[in-house]
Amino acid sequence: MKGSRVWSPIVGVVAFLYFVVPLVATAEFSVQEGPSHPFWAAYSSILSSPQFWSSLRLSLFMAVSAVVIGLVIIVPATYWAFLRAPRLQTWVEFISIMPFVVPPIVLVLGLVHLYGNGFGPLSSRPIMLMAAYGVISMPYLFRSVNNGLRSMDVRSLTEAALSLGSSWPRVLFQVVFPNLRTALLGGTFLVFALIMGEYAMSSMLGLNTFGVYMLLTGETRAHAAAALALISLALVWFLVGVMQAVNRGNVTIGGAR
Amino acid sequence: MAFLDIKDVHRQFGNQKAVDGVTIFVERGEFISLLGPSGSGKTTLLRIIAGFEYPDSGSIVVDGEDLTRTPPQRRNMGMVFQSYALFPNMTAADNVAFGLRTRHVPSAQIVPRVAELLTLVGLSEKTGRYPHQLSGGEQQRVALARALAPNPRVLLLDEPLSALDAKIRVTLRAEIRRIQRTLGITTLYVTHDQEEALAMSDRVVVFNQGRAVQIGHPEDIYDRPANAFVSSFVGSTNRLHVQVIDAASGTCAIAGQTLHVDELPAGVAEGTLVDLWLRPERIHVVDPDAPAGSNRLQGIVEDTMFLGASSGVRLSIGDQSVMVDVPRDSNRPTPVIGGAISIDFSSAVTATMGDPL
Repeated sequence: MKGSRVWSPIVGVVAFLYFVVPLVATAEFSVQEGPSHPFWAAYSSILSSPQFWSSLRLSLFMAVSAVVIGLVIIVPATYWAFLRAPRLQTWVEFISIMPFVVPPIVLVLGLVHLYGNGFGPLSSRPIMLMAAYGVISMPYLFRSVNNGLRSMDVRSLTEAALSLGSSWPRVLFQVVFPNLRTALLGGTFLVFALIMGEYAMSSMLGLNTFGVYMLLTGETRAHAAAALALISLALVWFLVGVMQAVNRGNVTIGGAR
Repeated sequence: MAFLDIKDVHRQFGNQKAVDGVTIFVERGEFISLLGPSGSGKTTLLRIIAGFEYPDSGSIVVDGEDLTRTPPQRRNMGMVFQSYALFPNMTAADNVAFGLRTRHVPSAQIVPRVAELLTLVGLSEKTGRYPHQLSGGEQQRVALARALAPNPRVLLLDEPLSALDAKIRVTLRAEIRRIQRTLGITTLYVTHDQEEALAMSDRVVVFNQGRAVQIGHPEDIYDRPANAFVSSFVGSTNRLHVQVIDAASGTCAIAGQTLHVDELPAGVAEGTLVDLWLRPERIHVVDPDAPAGSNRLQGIVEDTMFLGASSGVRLSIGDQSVMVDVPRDSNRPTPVIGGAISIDFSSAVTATMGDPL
């Protein structure tokens, strides 16, 4: 007991330094572009760059698309498997971890090889990237939704809604999704964070996403890269803030606050 | 044709027959309990009636309409779940209104209907509370109001009180019965609590291994159990192995003492072992010198237990034990452990073919 009292603050301080020192160092480096430049030079160069905004827009669009694909396909499929085919759970879990097993390069090569020609709109690179992001977001959304479903009595809630004359869409949108909000937000955030920093797939498909822009900036402009790292972190914190604001004060899974 | 016809319903999961040829005819406004141990098929049958499961064969007909393959959302049946299943994202009022909104009832009619039902279940002051702000008993009242709101044809309750503590259970079961009588709604109530089933129901269906082994009024189920299972499952009972001495006169023997049974199982021969099923409260401790009633047996007191209004006395007759309820009476001495004791009981006892000892 006494030992843990001594160690707790030490561990806390070490963890704090471990996380904060790199941030402080990056921040300090980002404002030292040189005596002839104002301290905000790196930030203004990033924020005034058309490539920054176009890559950010592309990545945000891709992230939103992946989330929509997930919400339309993965979430109902997870719910359906949970409710109607519990025996398939093992298989669904196995399939959900496939994106971890298959390297991005293999996934992209497979997509290009299969859909590269003759599939109309599916052969366009942005659509292929969108589909690839839909696939790699699967484990994150599946895990979050599955945990959310496990923590509420989804079978009884569904049956209660059905016995009250509810249609399936109403069951999903008025009963299941509202009670899965925390899980859905968590999964959505993970997918956003993943796609905003994704490099391998977009680079191979020749699309300048935010991840690609960050890497290119890092190769040529060290101070700007540091500024960009902090901007992307701020973006993530902003998303976390939005998530918490949306969820604050509302009923969460299982009715507990 | 009754209001709700459950005809020869079968449902099998793998090799296990969950419901094995159950037929029940329920009259309009009747309160029927489906009573049985866990895994006896009562909940599966309720789920088949609700439409959450489809039977392998058989039919469910309500008011002349065959609903066997109709999905649950088109059956107009109210269901109350053991786990309440209230929507956590909605207030009590919104939960009750849910079934009305799905039926596109105008808002002007929804508000008074919700208020009426929440008043009926005694929760008119808590309309704006979320489920997690209500106690278990209150949640179940909301669940009941929600199920009743759309005026269902049949009310189905799946062990609605089993998650509540004993005191609330007794209060709420009286409430449910009062509301059911007020509305005159046909109700099927699944429970494994025999006291609950006997206290609430017009009729009780006793389930065992997927079959409805007895259907009858609570008094019939208790006083005239159809077989050994019903006798042992409903209420406390003593099982006495006796040997038939004379089948024609119903004379049997136990530990060198004779007794008479009005009705022995058909076809028993002399020397056959039969089981007698005796309720503890139907056995009377008597003075050994008192004139004998139908049957008189002598035993030795093994143990006594204080049960509040009565005492429980366990006595041995030969190598068999019998439990007797003795009303507490200051004029009568409490039986002493190891002392001799005499008991009387009627010859109108249930007798079934016995297993060898």
